Amino acid sequence: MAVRGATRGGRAGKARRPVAGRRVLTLSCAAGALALAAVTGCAAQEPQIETSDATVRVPLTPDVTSAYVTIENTGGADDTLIGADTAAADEVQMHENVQKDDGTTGMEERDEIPVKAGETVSFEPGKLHLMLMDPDELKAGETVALELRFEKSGTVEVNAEVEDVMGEGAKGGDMESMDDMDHGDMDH
Amino acid sequence: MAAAGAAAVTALLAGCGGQAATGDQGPYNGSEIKGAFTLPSTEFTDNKGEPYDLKEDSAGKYTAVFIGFTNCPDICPTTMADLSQAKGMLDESEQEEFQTVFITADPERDDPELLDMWLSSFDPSFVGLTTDLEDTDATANELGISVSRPEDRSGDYQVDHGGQTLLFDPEGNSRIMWSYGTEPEKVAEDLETVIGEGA
Ligand SMILES: [Cu+2]
Repeated sequence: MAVRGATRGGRAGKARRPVAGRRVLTLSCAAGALALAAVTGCAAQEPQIETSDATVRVPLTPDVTSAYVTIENTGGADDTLIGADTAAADEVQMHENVQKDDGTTGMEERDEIPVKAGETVSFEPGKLHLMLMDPDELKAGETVALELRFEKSGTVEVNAEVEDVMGEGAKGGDMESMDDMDHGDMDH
Repeated sequence: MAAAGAAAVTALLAGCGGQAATGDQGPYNGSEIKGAFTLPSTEFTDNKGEPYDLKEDSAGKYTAVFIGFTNCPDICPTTMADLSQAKGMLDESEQEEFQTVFITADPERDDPELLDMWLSSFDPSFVGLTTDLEDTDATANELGISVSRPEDRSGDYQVDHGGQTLLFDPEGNSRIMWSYGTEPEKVAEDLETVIGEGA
C-alpha cells in the first residue's frame, strides 16, 4: 500500500482543532471580495457568516457520512441556516443528536438552525452534524464544496476537507504510527 | 459569577456531548457498575461469519461492548474511533487483555461483511456481532442499553440506541460504563487501572 503523503498534524481525537490556513471567510456584504475593511460599514444591520473547521468524514459505508463545520455570525443581525447541499452526495440533511426519555440517543432532522448575531454554532460529533446521504467515494485529503443556505445571507460556500475518522496513520492496522503522546507510562 | 455564566453557556453550546461529569467519586473516569450487568450466553455471528457466544467467546479479556449500527453517521463512528485511540494508548500487554465488541442494533441491514468493512476503518481487531432482532433486543435489554427502531424500515431509517459503552471483566461481569463522548485518554486511563487491579 502506498505510503500516504505529508501527514497532517497530530490529532488528539476530536475533529475540532483549528486547521491553520483553512479558514474560509465568507462575507455577505455587497462589496464581498474587499469586504474585510468594509465590515463596519455593512455589518451593523446584516448578519455576517464566517465558517471554519469544515470537515467531511471519509464514508465508512456507501450510504451515509457526516460533515462538520463551525459557523459564526459576526454581523449585527440574526440569521438562520435553512439547508445545505453538496455535489458530493445525493442529499444533505441537518441533524441534531438528542437524548431521548427512553435512554436512547437518536438524531432528529432540523429544518432551521438559528445563528444569532454574535453567536457561533458548531456542528460537531455528538451534537450537530450534516448528514450526507449516498455520498461519493471520498478519500482523505480531498476537498468537498458544501453549500450552506441561510435565510438572509443566501448561499455560503465552504470547502470541507475529507478526513479519516481515525485521523492520519491509523487506518489499516498500522498501529505503531499512532501518536501516543501524553501518555507517560511507556517505560520500555 | 461571570465565570459560572460562561461555563453554563459553554455547557449549553456543547449540548449533550459532554454528559456532564462521568463517575462521581468512584475509582474510574467512567461510572463504576461492578456486577450490575452480566454478558449473556447469546449466540451471534461475528464479522468473519463465525459463530460467537457473547459470554464464552468474550471470556478471558476485558471487553468493551457498544451497541450501534453502521448507518449511524455520528455517535457510532466517533465512539469506535475513541475506543480505538484509547486502545492505542495502552502498552502492548494491556492491549492484549482488551477487546472491543460492537453489536449491531440493525441486523436487518448490518450483515457480517458490512460490519467487517465498517470496523476495519477503526481497528481490524474489533469484533462485530449480528443476530436476529429478537436476540438483539434481548441482549440490549440485559445490558441495560435501550434500542428503538422505526416500525417502517423501508427507506433510510435510523435506529435510536443508548450511547454508552460498557466494560466487562474477563469473567463477563460489568465494571465500568463510559457515556458517549468520554475522551479516549480517560478511557485508556480506566483500562490501565482496571487491568492493573486484575493483574
Ligand atoms: Cu444524522
